[in-house]
Amino acid sequence: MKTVKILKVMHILSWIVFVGLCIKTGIILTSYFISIARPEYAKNLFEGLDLSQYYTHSFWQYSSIVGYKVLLFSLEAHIAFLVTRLLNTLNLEKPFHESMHQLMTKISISIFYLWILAIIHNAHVQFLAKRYNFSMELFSGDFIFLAGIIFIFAQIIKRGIEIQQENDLTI
Amino acid sequence: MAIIVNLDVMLAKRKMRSKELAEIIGITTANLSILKSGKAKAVRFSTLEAICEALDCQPSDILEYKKD
Repeated sequence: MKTVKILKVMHILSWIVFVGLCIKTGIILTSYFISIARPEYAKNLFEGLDLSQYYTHSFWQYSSIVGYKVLLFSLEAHIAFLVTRLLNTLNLEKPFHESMHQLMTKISISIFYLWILAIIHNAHVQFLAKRYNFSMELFSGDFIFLAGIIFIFAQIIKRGIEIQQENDLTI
Repeated sequence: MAIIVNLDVMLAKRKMRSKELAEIIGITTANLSILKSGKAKAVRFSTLEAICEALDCQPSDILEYKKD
């Protein structure tokens, strides 16, 4: 019963995280479009996110940095959505199901994309920081570790499905 | 698969219907159908014993090995 309660709480939390990330992405995109007409908005895109130095240097550099942030938050929102689906389809009576394996694989692949995005973003920002002496804010590069762990879990689930199928077909 | 289940042959010999056998041995008709079709991955000794008792036969009358 404790597990059921914990999973219910996690389901609600994942929905909150999903909605929060969608709102965050939306606000950054809106602030970006406003900043095209009013450059002072680049100083505070969302919760003190200041990209004004990129804006004053080059509008395209600024747009690409905003693009990375939007992509990052939308990917995170996608992962949160996958987690809500995972918790929604989870059946504790028969937890090893093909949909569970597919969703976990999708989550690990999405985190892997997040890692690639973080590498590209960090390389770009570091290049700009070195060349134009900008202050930089890097994305975390630990996503690959997380993706690996979830991928391993997905493989365990896959084996669990095979065992469960064998069990179901034992008469 | 190399193991062939001759349950339908034995049922025909004993003039018994699948539903009847399923009720006697206490498994569902769906599971008996899985067993008859050879889709089952494994058979419990208790199930085999119940089938042999119900059909008054030996396990060798139900299971047969044929090289692929």
